Amino acid sequence: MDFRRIEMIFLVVFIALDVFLFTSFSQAQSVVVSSSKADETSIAAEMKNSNITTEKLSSKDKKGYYLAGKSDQGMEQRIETLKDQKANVSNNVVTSVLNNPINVKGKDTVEVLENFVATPGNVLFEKSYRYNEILSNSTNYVFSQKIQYGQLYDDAAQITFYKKGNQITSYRQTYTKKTSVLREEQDAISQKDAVNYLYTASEIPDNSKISDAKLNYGRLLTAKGSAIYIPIWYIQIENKNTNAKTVKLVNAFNGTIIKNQQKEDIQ
Amino acid sequence: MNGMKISRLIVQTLVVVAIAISFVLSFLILTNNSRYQMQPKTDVAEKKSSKQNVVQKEELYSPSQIIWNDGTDQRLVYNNKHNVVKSVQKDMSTWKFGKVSVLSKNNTEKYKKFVNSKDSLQLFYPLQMSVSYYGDLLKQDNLSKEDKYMFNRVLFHFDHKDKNIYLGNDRNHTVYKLSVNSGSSEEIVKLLKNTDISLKINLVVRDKTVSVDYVDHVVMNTYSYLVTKQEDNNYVSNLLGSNNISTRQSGDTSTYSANSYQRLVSDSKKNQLTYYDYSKDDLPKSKTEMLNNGYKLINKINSPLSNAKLAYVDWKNRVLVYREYVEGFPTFKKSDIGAVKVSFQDSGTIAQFSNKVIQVPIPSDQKPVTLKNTAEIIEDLKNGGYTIDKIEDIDLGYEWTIDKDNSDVVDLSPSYFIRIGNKWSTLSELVGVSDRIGGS
Repeated sequence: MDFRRIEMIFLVVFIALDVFLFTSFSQAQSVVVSSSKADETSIAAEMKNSNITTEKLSSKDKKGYYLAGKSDQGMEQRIETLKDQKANVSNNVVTSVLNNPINVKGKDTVEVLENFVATPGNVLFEKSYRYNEILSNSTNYVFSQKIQYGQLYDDAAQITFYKKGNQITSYRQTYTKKTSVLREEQDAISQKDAVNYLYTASEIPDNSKISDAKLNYGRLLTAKGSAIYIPIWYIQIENKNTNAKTVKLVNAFNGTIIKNQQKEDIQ
Repeated sequence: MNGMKISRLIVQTLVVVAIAISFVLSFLILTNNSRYQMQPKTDVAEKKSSKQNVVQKEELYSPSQIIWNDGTDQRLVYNNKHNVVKSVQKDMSTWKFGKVSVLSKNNTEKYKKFVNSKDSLQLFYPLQMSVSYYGDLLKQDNLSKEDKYMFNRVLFHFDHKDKNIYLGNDRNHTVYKLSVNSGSSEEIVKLLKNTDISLKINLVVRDKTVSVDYVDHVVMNTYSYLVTKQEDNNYVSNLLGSNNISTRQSGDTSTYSANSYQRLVSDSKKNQLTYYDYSKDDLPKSKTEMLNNGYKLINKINSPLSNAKLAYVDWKNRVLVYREYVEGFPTFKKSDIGAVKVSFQDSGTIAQFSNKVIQVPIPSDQKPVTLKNTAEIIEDLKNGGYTIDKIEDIDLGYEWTIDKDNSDVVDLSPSYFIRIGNKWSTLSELVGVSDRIGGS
């Protein structure tokens, strides 16, 4: 018997065995989760493959508060200061019909309305509102209330102008009085994270464009007669084929998609 | 001939080495319990693709109190719009630290002067940690070798000439100096000037501890929160994985098992869960490992805790207790065990936690509360038969009580909590007297 041959066979077999054992041992150990950069890169690649485009999104983490706000209870008295319109108040909502509808044919409707809002006597709290493109459409022009911490995107804090044909004929106004901070500032997700969460939740259809992504305060729920506001990412998605726009909401504290904003009061 | 002998020797040596390696690898595979874990180990803090519920280590082991000596008074400070602790810690992480030296050792008189230093800021930690661990929390690699200096109090002066920070150990009244090569406290001073909670206190140096005595009556707000209850499925998935889970029901208790090493017991009546891990993979061998293991476990449980941080440590029995903090004060009575209690035993690790978490703050119906000062609390305890030596600790915090009109709402009411016999109780529980001015 050729002893040398047997030794060589042993050597080859045990080397092969060692390779197998080492591979088994390695697989039984920790698996490193792919780094955040790899995750983000794969989401970006997938979105590209789905023909979803965005402007450059910010990765900067944000901060925000839990706020409480209540509707102004004094609107009934305040409407007496309004001019050239018939206004009435019901449940703290001002509904007004303009004596002289505003003609916007051939004009920039937003610019016309901004001037209207800024003129004293046309609306209440005229310095407190700013035009909100995300919540507006071709017949409803929304101005959202500004507060110390940002804008409130809520129907309890806005002016909505109604356009019929080429005229602005009426509006609806609400005002949230005195928002208070409920607890210390919290960390909030970045613009990029918000879009990524929407995508991974299959909320962005193929062939879409992210036309806007803004962080402002929206209503999380209603409790004890107050609206509870948190920072929310409002992501506007535009269909590339039809140009139709939809707005999706992402809770900026925890990245969850907000489908139905709760209006029922928790006592 | 000699060449042949040498080559044969080499082959024989290689065969022996290959056989030895196979034995070693076989031994390692057979004794490695990680095959019993149903999911890969992950460092959750690095999983940035999902920020939900991740607790950062520096927040979990952050100071529980900030004390400002403005030259006249000692004050416990906080800001209800801004997390001052987080901001101070973030600012200090940009400083560059140098060497540690001992200033005074086991000297009570010098320690009293230290804690009462004028024009200074103190950060109090509820645990003794090493300077190297402190460096880890502040991401300062140059402190990684300083593991023999233990402390729980950080102090620095607002005097620009003194660029050092001072570390105090309440247990043995030792003070260290840590030099600062670059860094400024200007931003921190600005933060302090904007604090809206400022309570006048005295720091009283006792044997092995320093207590905070509130000098005046304390006015604190009551808070209400919506409470969410996490389903067992979330915890089963996070702790045991999703493969081959067996379930056993007995009365109010559900027991989930992944294998013979890990199980999760859920008590639906108490809203508490207990996780047992006997795989012995990660039993800590040092205080640093205990803290790191606690941090990993908190993130593994992945409960949406609100401002959770370490509140109490028992190094001897290897127990860590974490609580949720509101407005800079700990919450009590959420359950028997705080928010999360982790015990490291020789047989394995046990984590107990509540499945109810406070999430969304809502406006409170209740007016601010005025509480007695510490001297009055101690007087009430003495009148109730408790001597000073029996009182282990007195802390100000929030008592968790479910709203009587709505079980989804919890009210957090300010109260004193007294630890006697290692158990926290309110004044009324101990002596039947209210800790509020006016008694209501």
